[in-house]
Amino acid sequence: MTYMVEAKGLRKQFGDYTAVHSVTFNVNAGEVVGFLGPNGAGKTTTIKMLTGLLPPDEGQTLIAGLDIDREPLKAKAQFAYVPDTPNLYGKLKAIEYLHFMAQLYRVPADQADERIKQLLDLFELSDKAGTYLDGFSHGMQQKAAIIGAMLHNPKVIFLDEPTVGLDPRSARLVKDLLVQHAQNGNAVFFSSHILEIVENMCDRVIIIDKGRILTDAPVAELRQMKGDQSLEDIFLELTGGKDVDDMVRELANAG
Amino acid sequence: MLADTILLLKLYWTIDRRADSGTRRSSKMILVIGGIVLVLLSGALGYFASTLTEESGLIQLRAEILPGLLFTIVLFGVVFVGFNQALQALYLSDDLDRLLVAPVHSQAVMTAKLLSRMPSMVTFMLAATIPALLTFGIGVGLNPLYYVLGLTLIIVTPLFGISLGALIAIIMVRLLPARQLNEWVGAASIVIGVLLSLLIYLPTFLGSGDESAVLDAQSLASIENFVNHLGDLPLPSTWVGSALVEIGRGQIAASAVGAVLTYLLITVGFFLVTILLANRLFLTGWLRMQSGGAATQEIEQRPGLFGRSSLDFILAYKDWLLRIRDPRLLATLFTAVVLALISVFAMLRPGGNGTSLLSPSDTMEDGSVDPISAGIVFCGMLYFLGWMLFNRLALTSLSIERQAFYILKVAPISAGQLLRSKIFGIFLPYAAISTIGLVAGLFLVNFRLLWAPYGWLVLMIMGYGLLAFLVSVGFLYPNLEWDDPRRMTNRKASLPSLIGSVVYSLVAIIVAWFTYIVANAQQAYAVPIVIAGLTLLAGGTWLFVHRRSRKVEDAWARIGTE
Repeated sequence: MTYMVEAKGLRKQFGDYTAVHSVTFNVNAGEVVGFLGPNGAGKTTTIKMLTGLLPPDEGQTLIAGLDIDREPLKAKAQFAYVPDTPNLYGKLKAIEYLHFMAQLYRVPADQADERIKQLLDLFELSDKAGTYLDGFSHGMQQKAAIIGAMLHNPKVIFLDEPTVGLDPRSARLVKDLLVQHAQNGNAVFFSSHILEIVENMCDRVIIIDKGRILTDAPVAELRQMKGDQSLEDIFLELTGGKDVDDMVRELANAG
Repeated sequence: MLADTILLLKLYWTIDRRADSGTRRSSKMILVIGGIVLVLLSGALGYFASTLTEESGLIQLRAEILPGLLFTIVLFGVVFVGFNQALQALYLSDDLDRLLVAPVHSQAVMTAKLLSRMPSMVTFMLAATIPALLTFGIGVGLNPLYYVLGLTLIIVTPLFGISLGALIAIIMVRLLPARQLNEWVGAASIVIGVLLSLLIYLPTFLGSGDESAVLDAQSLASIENFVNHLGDLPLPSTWVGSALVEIGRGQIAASAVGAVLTYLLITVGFFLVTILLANRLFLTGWLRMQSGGAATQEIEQRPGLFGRSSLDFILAYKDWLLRIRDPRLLATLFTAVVLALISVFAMLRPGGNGTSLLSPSDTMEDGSVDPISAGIVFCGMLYFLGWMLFNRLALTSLSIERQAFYILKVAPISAGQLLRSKIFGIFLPYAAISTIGLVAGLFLVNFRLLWAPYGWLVLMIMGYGLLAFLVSVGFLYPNLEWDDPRRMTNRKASLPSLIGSVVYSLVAIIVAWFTYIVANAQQAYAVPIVIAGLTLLAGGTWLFVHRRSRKVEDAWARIGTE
């Protein structure tokens, strides 16, 4: 069976600090996987290694069976990446940026025209398509980045905090689109701090802390294992955040 | 309020000091030496100016005008800094929203913001003017009151410039989005810098070398009139300058004291009024910035050439759109064009004996081929023009991606294809300009038509080699976090790019020139000799570029990983 994403023993070290320790997991076709962890847990570093932005010190990444190190162009054609800060070309108009992205991923021109129009309408950006991207708000830039990522119908979409800066309607739209994308036989892998979104959207969660994977299980199974606790409670328990309750209590008493 | 201001100023100065602590020791040494030279030069100029107030001097200046001119220099020198500071600190910093909701006086925030980055610029301005003010006083023989009042006045003068600059910025942000304004300020500072350098160097650069062109009495008189006229400008700074000299001479008249007090009052008062006004006025511009000022953009829904051409062309097209639409990059392009045109003009212009570089014909009087023929020189000039025009564009062709580089890095394109498209984007306009230049040269310059195709091929091969090399250096030393386009490449790029360009050009020129001379000497074998020469040139260039592309692949893999 070919996984959509295979991370095999990924390790990354910055100087003396090991950001990610031998991380291994798979993502199947049709799955939406949430990647959770506290700040500095190694989420962004892992996503960067998966997308080829950062070479791992050890380990291997396969995208739809293609080794990103050995066959980078073929592997990169299979996925899209939306970072937490959408750094786009500010001096391109949104419409130009999207056509540029379509061409970068070899989407035929007529197909690109149609898909760009559909997605711009869906994200209510059609009337802003002729505006330079540096005139866009953070949320609008995020929408443009997500549209750009979906143009070539990638087998895998990696997103780092995809809903930050989006209005509720757009956040909902992104959630629905990603779930739909996975249901079409693709995979979605995203990191988020909003546990409610993860709980609603994801088939499976991977929790990472201090560069090590703490758990990798379907949401329902995880809740069953932990006595039907909420994902938030499970997350806090696994990452040591349960102490927070005690600290808040102590602080309140001191006050 | 004062406590809040001091607290915030301490914070900003600590941040600046820590940012400076990363500066190399050698850079600090250069800064110190530069400062000492500036102070000495300023002092010498002040003393020299004092000698010009005597009747026996080359020209005669009125003693009252120099202090006034110095105040005026500081005042207007700081206006631009104040403008930029207000724009950066009030509209483009990321801490203002936090500070405005914090329990600190908003006037304290304004004051600290406007003064936070002042010390370095004001120190520079004062280092350039205070020694001149002091040595001028010594030269003219003014009393101690001149020094005390002079120092006080020159130290408060920047407050006026800062205030004026800040007010202009606050008003302009109501008309244009702050980010756009910031780009235009960046562009303006580049253009002003170039124009100032041209004003200083152009007369020497274009000078005829005629030693007899010394200043005559008429020129001296017009300089004298001009400087004295400057001193009479109706500005508070020139009035207070005159009053200061009067007081220095012991003529403590009510009008002089009044002028000094009025100046102090205007300067400090204007600063205080600005702080009060800024608090009320800036919010409109700030709110406008939050909306991005998108409404001002023309809504054009067509994607242009995107989606309608090859990927190599589209990558290059995208780069040119970024260059043309960003005023800062456009200004650097303008600078390159101006410098290239001046260089070409200087080369084409006849020298002292009436001959120009293009004067020689291809053939000498005895019928043999002139090794320094007009055609060769003209091709060399076109190559040099291309170098001047495209050197910087080639070096910065990766840095232009800025933080959007990840888009290309996760996309299915190889480092080789990216390099090829970047070279293509720079080489294409070079090829067009060189070809047009060569065709124009056929009409202007006395060289044989038969040799034009050879000259054209040499120009294309050498241009490709040079630009490919420069683009590759840009990949090795990019700065993807630039804000000022003058810092688009890492400082380390300067030396290797210069050495590599010179070495490649010299070797290529020797091959091309040797081929030309040998082919002319052995005309029966001219065609095979030319083919062999061009093959050698093209092969060598290919090898040179190929070796660089290996390094580019490694560099591209490393980008964004450190």
